[in-house]
Amino acid sequence: MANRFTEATLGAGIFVLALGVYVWGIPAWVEPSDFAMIPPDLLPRVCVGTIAVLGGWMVLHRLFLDRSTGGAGVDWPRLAKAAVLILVFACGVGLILWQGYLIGGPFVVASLMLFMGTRNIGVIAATALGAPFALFGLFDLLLGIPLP
Amino acid sequence: MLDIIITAFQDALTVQTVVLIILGVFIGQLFGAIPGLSALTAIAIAVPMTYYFTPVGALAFLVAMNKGGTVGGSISAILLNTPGSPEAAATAFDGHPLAKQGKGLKAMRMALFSSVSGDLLSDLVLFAVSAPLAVLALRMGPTEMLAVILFAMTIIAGLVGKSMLKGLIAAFFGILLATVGLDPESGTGRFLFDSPDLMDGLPISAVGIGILAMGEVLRQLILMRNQGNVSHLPMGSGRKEDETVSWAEYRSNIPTILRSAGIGTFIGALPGIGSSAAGFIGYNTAMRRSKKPESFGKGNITGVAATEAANSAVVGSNFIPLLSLGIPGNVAAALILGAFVVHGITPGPNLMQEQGRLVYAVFAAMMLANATNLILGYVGMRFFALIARTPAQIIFPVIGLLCLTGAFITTGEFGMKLVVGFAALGFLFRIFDFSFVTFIIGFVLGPIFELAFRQTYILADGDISYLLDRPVALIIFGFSIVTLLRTMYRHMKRRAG
Repeated sequence: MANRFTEATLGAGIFVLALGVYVWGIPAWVEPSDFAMIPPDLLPRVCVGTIAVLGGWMVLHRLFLDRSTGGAGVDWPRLAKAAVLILVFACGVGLILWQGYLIGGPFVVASLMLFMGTRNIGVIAATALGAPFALFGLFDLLLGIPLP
Repeated sequence: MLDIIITAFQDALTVQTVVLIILGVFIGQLFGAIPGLSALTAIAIAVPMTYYFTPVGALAFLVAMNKGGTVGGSISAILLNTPGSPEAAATAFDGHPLAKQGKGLKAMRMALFSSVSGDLLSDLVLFAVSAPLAVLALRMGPTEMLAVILFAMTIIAGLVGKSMLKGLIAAFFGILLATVGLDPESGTGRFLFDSPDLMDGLPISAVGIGILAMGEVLRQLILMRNQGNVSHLPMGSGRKEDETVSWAEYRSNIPTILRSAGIGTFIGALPGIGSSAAGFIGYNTAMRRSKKPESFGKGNITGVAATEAANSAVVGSNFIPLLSLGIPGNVAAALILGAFVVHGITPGPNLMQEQGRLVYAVFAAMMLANATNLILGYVGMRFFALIARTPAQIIFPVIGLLCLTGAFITTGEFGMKLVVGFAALGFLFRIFDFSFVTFIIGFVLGPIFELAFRQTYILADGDISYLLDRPVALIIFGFSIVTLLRTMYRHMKRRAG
């Protein structure tokens, strides 16, 4: 039952978001053109409009039309772990761009290995240093593709 | 004719050319196998270097890379569920479930055999009917292109997954994101958010790496957390039939391979559509023709064969417009056109007359590259399978870094940042059961659809009766409608059942 309501809530969220983009987002962020035969906002409007209709239909469908529809429930612990991982990747990207590939790369690999449950310092050090240095050697030194 | 063939092979079988073919195939397979990178990256890097080679050697090197890339792309799609290149996305649908069943090697072998078969057939078509097909391709105007793209988009309906509503939402979201950037007709900005980086739109490599590769990496990182020193793939059963492709299995897939090769060859001859669309159409056609369509997506080896034969067949046939008309069929062909120019050769209608010997030598080199692709691919498979069996707690962090590296190489700082955002989106798609496949198809086909639609609208001056003068387009539109209705009927029947 909970899944059916989760799905309906998801559909409602999509409907509201799409409606917001249709009413405010497109006029604000799609420039008009007097020369084009087909207005630049036509395709975005078709897409967002269709998404809104489908989102609304999803609410009706899940609540009233097909009660057997299950779908995925919200797995909050899983989402929290994903948020941690996204944060690690974001910090890693920041570090790569700020301090360079050979600092940020080991940070990303080592953090993810720790997240995965690896506690062997030797394995972490070997992988976290080995992989970024190997990739740096391949791309930057051997192929001449500069990495940060 | 025999003299021409012998001379062509004599020209192609020099030490330099053979070494370059082997090197090209190896680099192509390697780049293709790395998620986010593709043979395109390798070709882009290599074009300036080819200045120092003979013209035949230079072209053979680049073509070999292109061919190697198609095989390489299937490896990570099957083993890691992260397509090395966008055209291998559909390979993962059935390839990865097979790997999960301990049949990764079998799936990779079928991918290799069908890829080389498709490529070979396409090359033969290129040699035989290059000129007539080029004329046909030239007659395909924007309206016919629009019809072909619409036909490709009806595949979306066939791949929506369990929920058609969610599949369509994802598809339209993909098309919406593809509108970011400058409007193709007036050049006005859409969703630029004052960022000059967005003027060219969202880079496909960043979106693809984020949604397909990084989204999967996030999922696996969470799934395999605290699992100890185990691989994400099970050990093979040790049974020979789970590791090899028997002649009977290959033979039963020959009709699928031939059909997909035909689709890939046709699409490759049309400028601008590309091997990703060919892969999806090949897969969908095989699914529709199958007696057990419900087994697709769960580890049906025919799905692997269909996709690989179709996307590889594009490699040969995209040379048809390039060699005959001087029009590159896709990005790889455009880069290779650069190599022609570097060597002072102008592709076009006079090329066969002026440089016939060179063209036939390149054809011979393509054949050699196919054979090399088969041998290197076969030998390298166990090596790649071994790498993929590295414990999950080592391999996924490294793939995560590889994805970021690939994004930086192809799209710079902006792409690297985008990848993280799209990884989150890809993960949410997986969590809430939205089809990321339809999203990607929408994103890839959206811009070419819009361009063809605008061109057709301008040509027709808004008058729909214009379509009556385009019988080829009308036939393809008809096919699209029939395909869509059939898919909807099957979907409803499946749900009712």
